Amino acid sequence: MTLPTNLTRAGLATAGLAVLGVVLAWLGWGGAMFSPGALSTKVDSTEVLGGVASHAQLGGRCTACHASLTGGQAMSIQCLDCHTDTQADLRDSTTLHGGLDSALACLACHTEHGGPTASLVRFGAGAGDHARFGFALDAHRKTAAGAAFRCADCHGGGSFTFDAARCESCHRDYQPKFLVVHVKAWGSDCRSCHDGTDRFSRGRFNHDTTAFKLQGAHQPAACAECHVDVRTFAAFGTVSGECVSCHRKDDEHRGEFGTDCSACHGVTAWKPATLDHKFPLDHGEGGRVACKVCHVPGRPYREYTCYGCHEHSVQGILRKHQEEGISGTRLNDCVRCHATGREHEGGGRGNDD
Amino acid sequence: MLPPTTTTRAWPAELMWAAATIAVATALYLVVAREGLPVASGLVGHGIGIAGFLLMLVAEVAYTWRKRPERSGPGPLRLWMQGHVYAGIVGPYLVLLHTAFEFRGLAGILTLVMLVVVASGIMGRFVYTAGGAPRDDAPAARRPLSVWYLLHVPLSAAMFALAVMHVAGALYYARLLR
Repeated sequence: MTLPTNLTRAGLATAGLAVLGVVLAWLGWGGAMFSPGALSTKVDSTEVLGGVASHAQLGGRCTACHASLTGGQAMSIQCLDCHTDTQADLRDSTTLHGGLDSALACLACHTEHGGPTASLVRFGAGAGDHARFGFALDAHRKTAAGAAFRCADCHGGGSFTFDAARCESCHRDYQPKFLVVHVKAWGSDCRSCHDGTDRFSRGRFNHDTTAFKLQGAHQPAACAECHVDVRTFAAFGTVSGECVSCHRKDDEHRGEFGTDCSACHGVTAWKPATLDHKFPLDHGEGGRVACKVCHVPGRPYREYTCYGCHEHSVQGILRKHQEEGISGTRLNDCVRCHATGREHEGGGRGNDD
Repeated sequence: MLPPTTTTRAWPAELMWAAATIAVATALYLVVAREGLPVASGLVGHGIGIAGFLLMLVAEVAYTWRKRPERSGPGPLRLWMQGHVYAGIVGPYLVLLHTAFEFRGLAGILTLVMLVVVASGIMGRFVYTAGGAPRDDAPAARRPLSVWYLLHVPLSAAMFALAVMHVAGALYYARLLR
């Protein structure tokens, strides 16, 4: 056998033959030789889209989906050219496709060339996929019975629209008491607060990460005691951290002591309170006097009276102060001169004017 | 009769290194493949395909450049041959993993050609020239010219031509995917 002595020439010739073979195959069968796999034969729509009932019927027409060398259309646009039903979906935010981030390309969830019967959807492979629709499946991996969730558990058979009543109907089955209280407090539109990330579960949500730390008697309080009429997640943040924003209705002082409750009260209980009462509360000889002795019940706390006790009769006081030349309205403002209520405390000061 | 250039041992060094590299690559591949075989078009699939192709290209170009009689260096020709064998085994193995064991169309033919190129290379190196790798001072008559060599060199050229078209096709059809 005679062997060629110039291998460079032999190599170039073989490479040339290979290129020629590919070019001839291209001319004969188009781009099919580049196909990474057969197209799906699945018939998904009752209507014929783009002239075919399935992708497989496209045959070797690669450019039906892949833009040609001269026409530079993105593949998503090519998809939508045929899938007019999806075009309509995209305009309706209540549909599966309409609820997606518009920047997503078809290929984020769909694939092809996997064979005649392969699924065209690769959605669901990643845990975060469902979050694209505004609801993650973090808290919906297993049903209450321990089984894996199926699409139809929430979406019903064959449809990927979502009925909000579905949340209640499932959750009522395994947490009936909780659900009644919960819906009463927060309403029935679960998704207005819940995004599926399980952020409210016990041990996951920590109120102390907010501007208002739950201390003392606030810890066992039910959420709805402070977050009243909240219907969206954002509305939880609208409650002011001021005491009066919640406690105005149970303010025994009827607002007379101002809004700075913490000046006298702690977070554990209303009593004991540390009231900075200028006038000694152990006035007289009977120990601590009750509020109503000086402050007439039902009247503002800034009003007080010294009459009604031992020698504090109107006549007695009048007489005694006339001797000192004190009269008029100043006669009723006892603490102006008797700041501590002790005997002889006001002596002499009445002559100043 | 030329004296043997390699000491007698079970496996030549380049084969040992190639086997070790393949073992590591296989272990890593199996770790990734636990979640399903990495498809050729994925990050891992493309990565090993490109790595394998570059290894093969280096194996071919480097040895072809050095083996010319008019070049005498750098380094002994035997070392270049060892590198050629190493890269010529590891590279195709990575490309084989890149296929995800699916063979169709141009890529399928390309894989077949690649396997023939590797087989002919192993035949030539370890069967036909069993006495040892070529030496710089080997006479012209010692330079292998045989059926396996006729297969190995021209088919390599055809393989690279097909590989370039395979890459061009992949780039063309995938360029507008996203």
